[in-house]
Amino acid sequence: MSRESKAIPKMIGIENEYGCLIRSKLGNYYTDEGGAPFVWGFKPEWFSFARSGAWDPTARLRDSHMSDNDAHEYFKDTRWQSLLNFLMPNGARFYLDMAHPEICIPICRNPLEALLHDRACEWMMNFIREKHYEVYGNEYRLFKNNTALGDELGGRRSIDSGVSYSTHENYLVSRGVSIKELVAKELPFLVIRTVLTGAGKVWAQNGQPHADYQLSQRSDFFGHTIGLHTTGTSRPIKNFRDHPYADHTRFRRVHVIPGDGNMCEMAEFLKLGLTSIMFMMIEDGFLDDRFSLVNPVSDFHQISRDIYFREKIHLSEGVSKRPIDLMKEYADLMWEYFETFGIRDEILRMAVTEARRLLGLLDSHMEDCFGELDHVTKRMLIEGAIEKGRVSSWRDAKAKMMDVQYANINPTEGLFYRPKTYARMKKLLTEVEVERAVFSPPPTRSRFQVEVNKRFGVVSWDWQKTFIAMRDRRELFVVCTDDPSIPWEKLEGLLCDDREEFFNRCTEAGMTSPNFFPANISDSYRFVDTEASEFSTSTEQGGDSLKCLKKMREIEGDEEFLHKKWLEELRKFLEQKKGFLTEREDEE
Amino acid sequence: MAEQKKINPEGEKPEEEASEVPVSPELQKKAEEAKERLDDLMDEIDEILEENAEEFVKTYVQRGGE
Repeated sequence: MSRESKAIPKMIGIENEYGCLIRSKLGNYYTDEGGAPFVWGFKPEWFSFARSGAWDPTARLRDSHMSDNDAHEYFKDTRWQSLLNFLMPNGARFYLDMAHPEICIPICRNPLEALLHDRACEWMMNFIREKHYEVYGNEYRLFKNNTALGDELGGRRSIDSGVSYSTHENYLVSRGVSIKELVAKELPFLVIRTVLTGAGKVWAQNGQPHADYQLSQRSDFFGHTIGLHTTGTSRPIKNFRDHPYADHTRFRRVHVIPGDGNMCEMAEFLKLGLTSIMFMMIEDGFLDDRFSLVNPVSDFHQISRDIYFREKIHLSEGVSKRPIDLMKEYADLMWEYFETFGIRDEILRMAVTEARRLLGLLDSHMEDCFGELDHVTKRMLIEGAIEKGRVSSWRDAKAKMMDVQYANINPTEGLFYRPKTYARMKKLLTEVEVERAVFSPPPTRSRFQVEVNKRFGVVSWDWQKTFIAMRDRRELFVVCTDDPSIPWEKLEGLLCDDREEFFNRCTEAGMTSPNFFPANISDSYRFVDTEASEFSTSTEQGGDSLKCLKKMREIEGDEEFLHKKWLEELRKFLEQKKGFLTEREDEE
Repeated sequence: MAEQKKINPEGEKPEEEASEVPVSPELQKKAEEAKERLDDLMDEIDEILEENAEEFVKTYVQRGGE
């Protein structure tokens, strides 16, 4: 008799900052100035999607007399990001984040759907790249990777120190799971999963000792176990961000930051699938402390550099094991979890079956992981080039160039997407499915936003809120979807072609707010004190967790004040642009 | 069954060059066959390598992100 699972639907989000270069008009070289024009020059019409839900940023810039630098700082402010998010035809969010073009997948229901939309987002980025050339004559290079030369400290170090940018994952987890549980159990998994999910990197950065090759792109930039921050030279493996875009009393959006962007569909599928299952096990109280690590940060670095899986890491009980063996233990435990709770989900079972197969291969016939795991694929391509004398050694710049070009999403330039190479990559999806997905949002609140946008135009939006103009164009109403796992059937019933009727239906469903923001913004951080009390200062990690959580409470005060200011500024802006909404309504 | 690769008892880190990995002849043959299959892909790799690598690496500069 199987136990009943209390795990809530593992909705998934992914945020991908792309590396971006623009070819200079002054000479035959590329610069890092490409991010802003790549995003701000985007026209939703390129996808025959006129009502994008964003104010045209170029119009704002025209009026503002700001220099490009100031404009960038201004638009970097998160208060304005909801005005500059482009809602894409599949419900994705396209915008500029810290000088990088970023695209977030719509909210997806499972790892395969998330993989599909991540590929669709990649497809869109490549399409936008082509359109930029066609329309403006600008040539861009885009890389779905996570590191480059540059200086995280803004010019205080040499560019050799290196920078990193994100592929973040987001998982819907029950608020019922304590923060202490997450810190204890999520952390070791994120370190150990690197053996399967790492995207591979040539050389080292950020002052770390040299390596010819590593499994992880990002590990050099991680120096803390826990923290609130997502940037800089010492990032936390377990990030404390707690902004769920949902009913805070029921849901967490767990923000996972140390992962790499994957090109191989199998690697990405495993990353999303296994991590989802790990959170489910926590929700069902099935994951115990057996994987706790004594030194998670140094383990993360070691695992990244141990490319033949020989070295052991120390677990808290004084036991040490190889990370690949620990990953096998995780997979076995996941299978036991399925049996114990009678979980038949085909997609999740496939993730574990494939993980077990690949873990076995990694230990015995690593080359058979070619096309399925990025760190193996990339390594074999470079090793092959070295053996054939095309590249002199791992220290050759050619090796590094192959590493970077592996993730170039232009199929005429990128190594992964070269026709013969790409034909050897394992596919879980077809090209037709991916292209179709560009215009097919998943049946989640993302589809709801796309459908609302098509009918009425969305003035502004974030994952939780959709701002729609009332008929007189002077006032907005906001529709709030507080449950990221809300079934499509419930949302579909609200849709209609008449604006007033739509407003009435949403109001009856309790989903409109008379204010611009859901009431009780301060509730967002209501749990901070309770969560902080889970930790004592007797351990370093406990003390640090406590500090992080108290810091979040400080931020709450700021947030409320900032949101009120934002509201005033939005109203002023509307006043100035009274005619704007009328113009956009007339667009086809 | 996984072949247990021991850390050098002296405590030194093992070499990371592929040629130094101790494998059985059978596994070595399999690895060689796999690498031969990569021969087909060499012309595509050559296309990538046409670009000046030093220039490419030196100019792949970005700002810090999240």
